[in-house]
Amino acid sequence: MSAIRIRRGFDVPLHGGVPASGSAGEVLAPVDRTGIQRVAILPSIEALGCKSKPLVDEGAQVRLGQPLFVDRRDEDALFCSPASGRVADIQRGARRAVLSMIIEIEDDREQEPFPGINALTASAADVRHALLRSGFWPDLRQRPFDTVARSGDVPAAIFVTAIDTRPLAVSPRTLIAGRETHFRAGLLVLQRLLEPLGENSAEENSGPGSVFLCTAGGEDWGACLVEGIEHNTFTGPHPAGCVGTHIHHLKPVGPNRRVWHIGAQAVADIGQLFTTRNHPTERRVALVGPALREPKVLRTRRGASTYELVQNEFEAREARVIAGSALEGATATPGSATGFLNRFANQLTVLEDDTQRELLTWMLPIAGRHTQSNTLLDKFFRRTFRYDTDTNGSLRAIVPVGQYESVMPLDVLPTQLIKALASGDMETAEKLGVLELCEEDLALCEYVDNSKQPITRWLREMLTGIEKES
Amino acid sequence: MKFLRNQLDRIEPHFVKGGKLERLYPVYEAADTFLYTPGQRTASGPHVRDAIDLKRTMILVVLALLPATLFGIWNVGFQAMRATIDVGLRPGDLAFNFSETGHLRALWEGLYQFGPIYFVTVAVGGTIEAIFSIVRKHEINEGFLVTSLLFPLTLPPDIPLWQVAVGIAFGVVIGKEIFGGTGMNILNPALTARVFLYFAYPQQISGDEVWVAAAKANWVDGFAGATPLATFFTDGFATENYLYSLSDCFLGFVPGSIGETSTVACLIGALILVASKIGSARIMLGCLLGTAWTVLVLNALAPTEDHYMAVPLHWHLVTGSFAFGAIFMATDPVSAAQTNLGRWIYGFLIGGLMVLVRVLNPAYPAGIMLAILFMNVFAPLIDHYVMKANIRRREVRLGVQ
Repeated sequence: MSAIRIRRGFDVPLHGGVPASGSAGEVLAPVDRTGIQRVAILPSIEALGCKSKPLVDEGAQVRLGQPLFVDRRDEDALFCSPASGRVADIQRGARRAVLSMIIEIEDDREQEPFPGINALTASAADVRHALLRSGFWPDLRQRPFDTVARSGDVPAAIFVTAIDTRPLAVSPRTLIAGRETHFRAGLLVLQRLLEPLGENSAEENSGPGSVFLCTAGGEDWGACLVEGIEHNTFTGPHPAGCVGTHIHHLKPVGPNRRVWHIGAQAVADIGQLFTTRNHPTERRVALVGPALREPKVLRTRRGASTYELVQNEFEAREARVIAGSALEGATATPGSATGFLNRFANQLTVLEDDTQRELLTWMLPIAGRHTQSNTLLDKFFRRTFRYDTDTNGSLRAIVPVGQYESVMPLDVLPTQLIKALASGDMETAEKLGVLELCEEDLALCEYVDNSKQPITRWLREMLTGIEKES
Repeated sequence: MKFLRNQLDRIEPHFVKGGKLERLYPVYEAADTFLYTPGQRTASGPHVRDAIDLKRTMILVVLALLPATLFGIWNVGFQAMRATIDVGLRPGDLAFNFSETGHLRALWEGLYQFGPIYFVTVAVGGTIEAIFSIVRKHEINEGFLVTSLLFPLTLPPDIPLWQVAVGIAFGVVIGKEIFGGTGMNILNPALTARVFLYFAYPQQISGDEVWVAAAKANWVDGFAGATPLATFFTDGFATENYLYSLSDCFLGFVPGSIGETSTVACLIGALILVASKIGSARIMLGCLLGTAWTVLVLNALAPTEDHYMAVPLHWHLVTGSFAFGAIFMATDPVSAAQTNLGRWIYGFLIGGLMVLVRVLNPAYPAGIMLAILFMNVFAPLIDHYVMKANIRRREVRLGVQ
């Protein structure tokens, strides 16, 4: 075990976190919201660049765990239904790409059978095959690119992200409380995925890689450890909890090395699936944000519709509901095609979306807003801020006053990389480490940027371009 | 204030695409966002954003320049008083009134000189900026707020206004706009303007007579217009022969360009810049270290005690435009090096080069602006090697090399 301390970074002082304990000091139990009527899977968000091929039609009856679609690029990994019921709607976006497949829940008792295999004694190929058919494979993502892990790959390592430093995040330790046995079982399954498949893939890696469990320092993870995994703790400001930071420090990736990563709740899901042979449906998310009346932790279903989750939770006339944190989350407008929890989200953030035009604020020393630089004095007498979705400025050319460097804990030159992204210079960007990054790693750079450039959008365009070329 | 907002909203249709004044949109946008926050919403990605934008960044640099500006205005008046009334006049002798030797009079005289220079700079430079924005169809950039204040502060108080106009026009066009505007320029536009004047009109902008606002005919006996830097050349290590005391040089009660005489005022600006994280402390400290190292080496090599090379470090630091250049000019984020390590190297070389220009080439007593311009040109090269080192580290980590 090693303890890694992150020095550079920044915790966005967003208002509206879940209180550590209730008013009487009691430990707050998650609020039950499992009685959900509509759930969905979101191919465009959960499988980046996916060319989806639906396996069922609108109106069809599906069982929990029944395959709903596959990605044409890798048809072995199935995307399965998070509930049993009726396919109410298949929503499509630009170029008929599937945005979401919405299931109206009817009865959960019926579910797709899961083969009774022992994760420890079965062959590595069988374990992998079972996971691919179960619908939980897409929880594994690969770096570079942050796309769904390829079914035939053996990665150099698997990172379990059990720390969350995003604004208003709740510790994954809290979210998997009570599921420790399943979490351990899940880690054992992950270890089997690192075993070589055939002779070719054995050559690719020098010896089998390991499973890295990355947690926050000072938390008790003793009940969640199994033999053979590498436990590392990270402390410091965000992005200490981003998997990109962990990978960079423990097993950096590049064109010739791939690693996979997965969230803590998904590991517990996989463990539960292999031990009980029942498809898990539960998901815990923190409902947070400055626009909310009362932030809380919810116990709900995977893929639950945000409409049902945030109803009557806020008063704002216009609010933006985000599956994920305010930094990197995806907009999940209630009632829209993508208004559902995606499989990676551990929180739902609600922000005020009604921006105002204020008079002459650029010359005021106090403006009721927060800045990471010290050009506004508000931060010296307030601890949290009610952010809205205002860009707080208009688009300008990049003027690098050192803002990116101050929030970049990796050995990456952010200004130079961002300029390479802006000019679409693929070769330079690759040399400067673009393959180590995804949106959440540069989200802080875009947050602190005084020129308001769309940095994370450039990053995704660049990664898509590199992926296509290789 | 609702009325103002309504008026702006009412005329907006004329400026947007399809409107009669479509081409003048940058002008409308500048006025509109000057008055009101843009109120745009984030599209995706980070849904919340930091409160800083380029307007706030630039206004902070202006704020940091204010002490130097105010002191400079006062000092222009004060030096004129010394030249025409009494050479031995001390700042403490001035009364707080409008009399012939009063602080208010000094301020007024200074403003009388500085006001027109500033006005011409803003009018000429601002018009050029606006024209380029309209032709290029992009929004007017706030960078000129800073350039238009930096440039007048580097000028001698009695510079002809037509030279101010020619200088800023050159600086804005050649120093910035031909590269694509703020953010793309290689050279610091204010410095480019200043150096252009320096080489184009050496008679009017150097020598002993230009640093005081009063015409030489009115000078009283015993007053020498020479700046402290000029006295180094003649007296070397013999600091007791200098025309001015060390504390006067440090506080700024000496003749010189309008804004650069006071090291103290510049240090206040440095404090504001560094505390607000807008200015790079790395560059400023780099300049200091580079100067110190080079001066100490030269001191050791000085052939005689009264040689220019023997001028001690503390004198180098408080005279000329060292403080002003290192704090406000070298730290221009766009033309400086843009990696953290590069900023140290860039600053260090500016400091070293400044001393070399000052000491070994006394034809140009003001070394800092040449040193900064020279390093502006080399900053991309420094960054290139810092990048190469980073790339190599990455390859080693991945086992490619």
